[in-house]
Amino acid sequence: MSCLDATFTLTPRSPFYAGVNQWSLLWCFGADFYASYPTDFSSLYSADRLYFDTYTAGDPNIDYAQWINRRRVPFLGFNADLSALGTAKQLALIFGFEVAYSGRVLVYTDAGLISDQTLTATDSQFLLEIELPSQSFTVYFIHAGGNWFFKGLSGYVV
Amino acid sequence: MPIIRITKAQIDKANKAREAALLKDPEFRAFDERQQLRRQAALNQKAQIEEANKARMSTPPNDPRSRPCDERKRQRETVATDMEQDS
Repeated sequence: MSCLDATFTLTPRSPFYAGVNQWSLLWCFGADFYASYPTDFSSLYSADRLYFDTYTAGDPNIDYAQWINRRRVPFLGFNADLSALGTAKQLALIFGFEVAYSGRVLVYTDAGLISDQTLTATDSQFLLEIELPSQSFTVYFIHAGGNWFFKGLSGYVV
Repeated sequence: MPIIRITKAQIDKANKAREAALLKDPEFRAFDERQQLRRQAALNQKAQIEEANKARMSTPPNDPRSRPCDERKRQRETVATDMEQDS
């Protein structure tokens, strides 16, 4: 059996990918840290992950498609232009996480909510299947509850 | 594993909404412009690193610039020690 190599992997310490006429990047507004392991900054940096705490979570009843609402809450942004790879293809984007107690992530675009995702301790990732468009695109992951760690995004163009 | 699907039609709609929001909100537009600058800086940085690596690979092995950093550092330290002893 052979495994498919990721086209790119974006993590907090490596948030940018560039190939020939293609790129993707990750950014974050407002992750949390505390004074002790595993949520202290040094441990998070060493493990190359971000922590989101329930006390800073956004309100799931607010529309985060609007910038004015989105900029006030912790979220991760993913932006990419992979059209050079062909618009007949799909991007399988894996969102890697680890849950401390529980977690909730709202997947948004600028047009509205795509999915309300519960993160459970028995899972470590969820998958977005994205039809590649002919221009750049952006997806937002809004922290909407729970205590969880973000580990990274891996993209496979298939 | 949960699966979320995003279609081309949804992305087209999102990009149109984004364009409208950028026109409407100067703060969002300013943020987006800064993001584009950051992306360009990251692309430039990557190109510079690739260029430097290419130059390093094409430097002849007997050229001092192709010696490993540790060796050059050791040489600098030796020179510094020699100078101290001379003085």
